[in-house]
Amino acid sequence: MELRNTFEAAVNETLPMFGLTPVFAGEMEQPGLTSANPVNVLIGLTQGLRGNVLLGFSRPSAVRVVSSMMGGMPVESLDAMAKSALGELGNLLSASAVLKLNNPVPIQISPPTVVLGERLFLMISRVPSRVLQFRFDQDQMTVRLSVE
Amino acid sequence: MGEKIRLLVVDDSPFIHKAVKKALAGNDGIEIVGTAENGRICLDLVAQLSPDIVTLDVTMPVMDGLETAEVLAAQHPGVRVIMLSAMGDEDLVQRARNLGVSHFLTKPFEATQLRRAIFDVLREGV
Repeated sequence: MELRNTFEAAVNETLPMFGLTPVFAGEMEQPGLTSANPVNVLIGLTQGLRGNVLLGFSRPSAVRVVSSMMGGMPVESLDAMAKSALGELGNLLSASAVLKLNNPVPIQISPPTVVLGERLFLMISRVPSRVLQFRFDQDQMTVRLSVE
Repeated sequence: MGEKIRLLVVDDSPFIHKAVKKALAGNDGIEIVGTAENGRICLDLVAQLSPDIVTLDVTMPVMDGLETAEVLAAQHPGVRVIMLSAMGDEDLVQRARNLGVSHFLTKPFEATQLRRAIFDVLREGV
């Protein structure tokens, strides 16, 4: 099975545990791994498979995702706790997706890096990436997968 | 062991500290006596706080969960360990079992799973 398929399965299994109902909203291919999202969570695939996973959100979507992860608790801003929650989301989704691959060599992932900023442009890799879009209510999450 | 079960939560993610506290909120039989961001801090806190159980993340900076479990088994054999990790692969579980860790929870976990693991790990220790 490909990472693209296991990642979709991981999203569909994990987000409902936080009260979110994801709907797959399409995919595309990009020549490199880039993001212009204001909120990004980067996970490296470091052993068994080499590459990167990048989750992208708008700020309002990230705030609402964190609020759901905290059981509906009001979240005003993306403070340290919120960033920790977003990093954990990236960790959970990536771990679940790589485990589903049943790779003969165990795949290791890096700790998450959370990057926030306005007018941000990240260029992580020149390896082509598969971009998956998910919607939940009025929010959106972009998943970028780049495997060398 | 006192009346309440004394629990130390070890994870580099403050979100997980909060999630464990939330999962155990309202449970009068369990007291979270401390939190730590890595294994080194965990070992200091175990000496100070004498927890009955430590929940250990696997991937942490400074000292990871497996290394911490090994030191705990050698220096504090009475302390029970529950591993909490997003990476619940067989190799990892086996390495943890070789260190004497019998309980392993994959994140994200349900509150009932955590509570059951806490009571199970204590029952095994009797």
